[in-house]
Amino acid sequence: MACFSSLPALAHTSLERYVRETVSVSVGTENIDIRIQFSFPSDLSLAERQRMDRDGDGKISKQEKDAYLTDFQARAERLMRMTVNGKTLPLIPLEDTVLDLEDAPGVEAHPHELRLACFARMPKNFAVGGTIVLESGLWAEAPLMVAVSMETAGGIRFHAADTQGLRAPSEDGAMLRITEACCTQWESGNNKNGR
Amino acid sequence: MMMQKLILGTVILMLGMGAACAAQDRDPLPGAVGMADALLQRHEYLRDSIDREKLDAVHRDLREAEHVLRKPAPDADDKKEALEKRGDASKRLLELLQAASCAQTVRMSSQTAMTAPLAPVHLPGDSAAFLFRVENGEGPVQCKVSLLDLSVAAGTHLGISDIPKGTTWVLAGLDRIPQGRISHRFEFTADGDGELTVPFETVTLAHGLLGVRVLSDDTGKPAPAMIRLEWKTDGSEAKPANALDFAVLFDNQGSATGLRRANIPGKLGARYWCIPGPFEMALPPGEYSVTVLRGIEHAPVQDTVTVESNKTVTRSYRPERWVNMAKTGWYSGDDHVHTQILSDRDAGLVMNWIQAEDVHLANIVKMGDIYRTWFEQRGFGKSFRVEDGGYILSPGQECPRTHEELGHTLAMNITGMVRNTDQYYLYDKVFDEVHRQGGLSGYAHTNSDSFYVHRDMSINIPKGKVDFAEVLQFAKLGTDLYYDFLNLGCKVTASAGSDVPWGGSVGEVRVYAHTGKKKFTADRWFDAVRRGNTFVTNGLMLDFTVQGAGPGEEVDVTDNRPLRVKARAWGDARRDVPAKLEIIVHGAPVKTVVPEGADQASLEADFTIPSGNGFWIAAKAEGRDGTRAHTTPVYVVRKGLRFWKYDGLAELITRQEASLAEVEHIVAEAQAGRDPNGEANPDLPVTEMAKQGPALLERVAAAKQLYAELRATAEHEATLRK
Repeated sequence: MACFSSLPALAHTSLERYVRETVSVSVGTENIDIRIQFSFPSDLSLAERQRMDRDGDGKISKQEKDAYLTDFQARAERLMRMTVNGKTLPLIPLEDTVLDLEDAPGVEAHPHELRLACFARMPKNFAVGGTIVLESGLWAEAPLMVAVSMETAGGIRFHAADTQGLRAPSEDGAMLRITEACCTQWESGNNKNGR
Repeated sequence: MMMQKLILGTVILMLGMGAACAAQDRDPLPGAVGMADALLQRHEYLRDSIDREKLDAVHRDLREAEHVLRKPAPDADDKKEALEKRGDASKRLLELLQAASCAQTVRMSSQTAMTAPLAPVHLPGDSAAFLFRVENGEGPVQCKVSLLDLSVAAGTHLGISDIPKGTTWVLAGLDRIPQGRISHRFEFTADGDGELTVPFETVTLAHGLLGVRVLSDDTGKPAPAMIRLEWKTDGSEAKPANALDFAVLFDNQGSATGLRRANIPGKLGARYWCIPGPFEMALPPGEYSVTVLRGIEHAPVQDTVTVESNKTVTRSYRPERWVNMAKTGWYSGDDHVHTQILSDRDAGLVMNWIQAEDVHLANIVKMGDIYRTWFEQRGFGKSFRVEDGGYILSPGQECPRTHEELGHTLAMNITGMVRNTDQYYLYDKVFDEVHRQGGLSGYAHTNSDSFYVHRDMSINIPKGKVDFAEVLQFAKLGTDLYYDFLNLGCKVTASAGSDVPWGGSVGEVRVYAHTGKKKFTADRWFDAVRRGNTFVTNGLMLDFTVQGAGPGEEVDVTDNRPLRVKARAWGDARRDVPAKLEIIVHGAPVKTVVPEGADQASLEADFTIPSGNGFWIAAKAEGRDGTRAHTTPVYVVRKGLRFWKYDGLAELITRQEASLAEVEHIVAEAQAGRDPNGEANPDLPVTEMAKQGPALLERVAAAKQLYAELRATAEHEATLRK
């Protein structure tokens, strides 16, 4: 089993110790698409790569990548929560998760990225004043540098709370509020998926 | 002769739940999810013969059903619904495949055979997709995806193996196809006997040329810009031929590349290259979306250009300047830019970048910690400033910079790096020396209280040793700490910095300083920051006066009288427009203005407020797409009183004393050989903290005395306040 235990001694260190979490939320009349990219600087990448390398041979085989991704998917399902008007919606994988080791396939201090895409079904009765909240416990135990962008279909607008920037590690592994947005305009357009 | 076969990553996605599955659970179309995934990704190569919207709906239904069905023990009703959904979606996918005019039908037999060649396929670039319906006798229908990379081997025989009995829909994706007219063969091998060869040709069109020049709206001449080129065929990004690579400047820190992901709220938050001037480059034919940025005072340009084979297309863009803040004496700056400048070439790269983003002054900071430094500079002081056409690079520092103890500090306009690791935790020593040099001292990352910066703030802000605090960074406006010290009656200038290479691009957040009508110079800009004549923003602009006094200025009053407050927040619909303008007094809004119409580009407030016993008052704006702006306050000072938040003092002072107690704690831990987390640690930060601890504790004691004096002042003011 890959180990996803908390990142040791990373609380509040330099920016090179921050996992970058780039979140894109795309809202349409039928679906809410979420794309998240986790970028690991060199030192953090080394620690993650060591976790991927189950047999400790210094190389990351396809089987090890697949196993890491399987564990990550399970973890993402457990540690991500989308609520619309306070009600939790299932987050459904939209694409297979990608582990991009960036031309450095072995266990070494070299940046890498994890990209996941999922979606939720927009409730039929959504209207102006409705809220969308995305919470995540993924790497919440590490310092995070969060960037969030929100796209909407024509005729739809949201006002997003300020959730970006440097985020301290959460206490007790609690989920972090990554996106919190309130609908200010909701006119059904043709675009169902926000893009 | 042995045929070279290239079989890379043949993927069959089976959705079956295993042999034990009940008959009704059997997947009606194995591989459907992978097929729908691949069809969506390769849709542009299928000549629009599949309805994309229908395909997207099918794909989501399949994914949703799979999500339920792969749970170890799904709820019975959920499972039933998911099975129905999967069955329906599989049927719809099959209908889409059967209706696809691009699909080729091939029939396997037990013999080795070759079909007639397919018609040549003309490709827009170096990727392609082919859809086959492979018939191999009686059997079920399933889907299969085969991804083939033609750069991996020289052969052009593309193997698709293990075709089972029945009908198999095969999507063959080809990447890195050589240019020109190329002959290939697909070789289908049955799961058993039989091999079928399908010859075909791809014709990759010759590239076309795209020429782009971006003009300054001020001069009409070519100017540096940030640009994004996206090939609409497959969404890939093209790097402009003359894109600047900043990696050499970044000491392998942060995002050490010239491709900058701008932290801009809204749709402009994407990746851009910096170009120093016009370029021409060869590109595969097709449509390209072009986005050009020249900083927040300019409207973005968004265009679609069609590149045709063997032709040249040129575009000239002139991003419109929707506001010219310099004309009113406001000049933009970025207090936190990390780049090495050791040569004219380095300086030229950074100068192009700040000109592309239209940032008039960049504080180029050498960075240090207790161990070492990064982002070396060739020197400090006026003679090492670089100026070009009203744009200035000025060397500064981010040091001292402790991560688990006291936070990160910034200095601007210094004449020499101030760094003494024997006194590394005595930040006041650095602040004093920076001031002696004529520079400005401040704190980084106060918007997110990172690296425990609140601790040193509690020591040195009340002593008046700090000029500015970064309240806007990484698209986040954070004012909690800032307000705490304003509420204690301490003047601090609001500032902003991108912190590249950790941030996205220079000037993505910026501090505007009001230098007045005289010629813009670095010295005037620093003086304006020293006086607090600033506001910070990542999109909206702010005007703010109280009784005619601007940010950082004082309005002195001797009695309670009405003061006229005028504020305006404005933007441009092509970037962002204000959704809210607030006037903040002692941290709370006293006036809020919201738009009356959807596209109102300006919000204004004009009202009077009683001067009372004095206060600090600032303007704050939020954009519809999430941009933020905030002024340094105007200080309304009643004679004999501080402008502080008198009613909340007990809590405020208690909070600062708690910060001081944290400092005492980390010193005690260090003296016991432990780090701030309480773990035994022999490293330099701990041993130095142990050595420097007594001197740091003297400063803590002095700060405590200051807070005690503030309490006494509050008691004294009680009789004066009416």
